[in-house]
Amino acid sequence: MNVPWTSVWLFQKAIHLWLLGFLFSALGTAEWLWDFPISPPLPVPDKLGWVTHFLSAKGSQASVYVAVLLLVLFSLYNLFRPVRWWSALLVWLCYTNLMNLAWMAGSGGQQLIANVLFWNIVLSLGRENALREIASTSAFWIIRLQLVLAYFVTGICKLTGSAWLDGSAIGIAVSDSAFGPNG
Amino acid sequence: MGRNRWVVITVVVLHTLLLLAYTLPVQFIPGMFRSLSIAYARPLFHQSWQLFAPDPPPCSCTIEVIMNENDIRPIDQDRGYLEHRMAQTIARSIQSELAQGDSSPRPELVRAMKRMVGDIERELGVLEFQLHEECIVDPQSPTERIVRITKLKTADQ
Repeated sequence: MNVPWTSVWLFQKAIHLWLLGFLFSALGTAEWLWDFPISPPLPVPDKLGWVTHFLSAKGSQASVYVAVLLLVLFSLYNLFRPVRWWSALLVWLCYTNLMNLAWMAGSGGQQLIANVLFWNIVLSLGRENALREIASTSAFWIIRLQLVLAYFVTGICKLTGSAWLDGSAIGIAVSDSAFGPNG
Repeated sequence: MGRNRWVVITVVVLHTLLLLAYTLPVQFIPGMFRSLSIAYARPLFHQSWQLFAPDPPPCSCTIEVIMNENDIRPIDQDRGYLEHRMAQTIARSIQSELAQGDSSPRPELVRAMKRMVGDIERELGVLEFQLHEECIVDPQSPTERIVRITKLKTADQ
C-alpha cells in the first residue's frame, strides 16, 4: 500500500506537461472549440453536473477566456511548483469545463485525463495527518486502477459483438478511412 | 498506514466497482446497481470505453460539401486533428439519425456542419451537403466497400 511519492511527483509533472502540450496544439482551433463553439451545448446531467458543464450551459465568451487563461497559468504553476490541492482543483475545473464545451472534439483520452485530474486534487493533499494520508493513498490507487479499468472494460465490451470473436474486426477498423492508413 | 489500510482498500474497491457497473455492458449489471452507478459516476466521473465495440462500424462516413459538380470535398479537408474529430462526430451522429429513419439531420448538427464551412459559404452562398459512406459487404474482405451517397436536407435550417 506504500505510495512511491517520487513517482507521484514525476507523474504530476508529466500530466501538466501533457495539458500544456494539448492546449498549445488546440490553439489553432480555439475559435471552433471554445470561442464560438461548433459543439451544441450539452444537457447538464444534474445539480452536481453544473460544476463540470457550466461553460457549456451558461458560459459567456469572457468566462471561456478566463478558463483558458487560468488553465495555462495553473498548469505552469503545477509544473514548476509543488502541486497544491487548490491549484489542482482549479486545473480540473477549467479542463473539464472546456472539454465539455468542445465535446465534439473529445476522446476517451481526454475523459481519462479529466478523471486523473480530479483524483490529482485528492492526491495533492499529502501526508500531513492520517485523514490526508488515507485520501491521497486512495487517490493514488484509484488512478492506477482507472487505467486497468479502461482496458479491461473495452476488452469485455468487444466480447459482446461478433467481429472481434471471428477475427474480422482489425481488418474492418483499419480499412475504415477515418481510422486506418487511408484516412 | 496499518489500520487505515482497510479504509483505503474499501474506498478504492467501492469506487472501482461503481465505475465497472457504469462502464460494462448493460446485460452484465443488475438494474439496481446500474442505477446507483449512474447516480455516482455520471456527474464527475463520466467515461465510456467502447472503442470499436461491440463491433467496428461497418460503414466509414464523411460529411462532404458540394461546391459544384466537379468539386466535392470533406468539410474538414486540410484541417487539423481536432477538426477531424469534430467532423467525424458530426458524420457519425448524422449517419445514426438517418439509419433510424429521420429524413433530415437535427438542426444543431446542421448548424455545426455549416459552421465548419462558414468561410466557403460566405463566399459562395448557400451550400449543399452529402453523407459519403463506404460500407463493407463481406467482413472477411473489408477493403472491398460499396459507396453510398445520401444528400442531406439542410437548406431550410
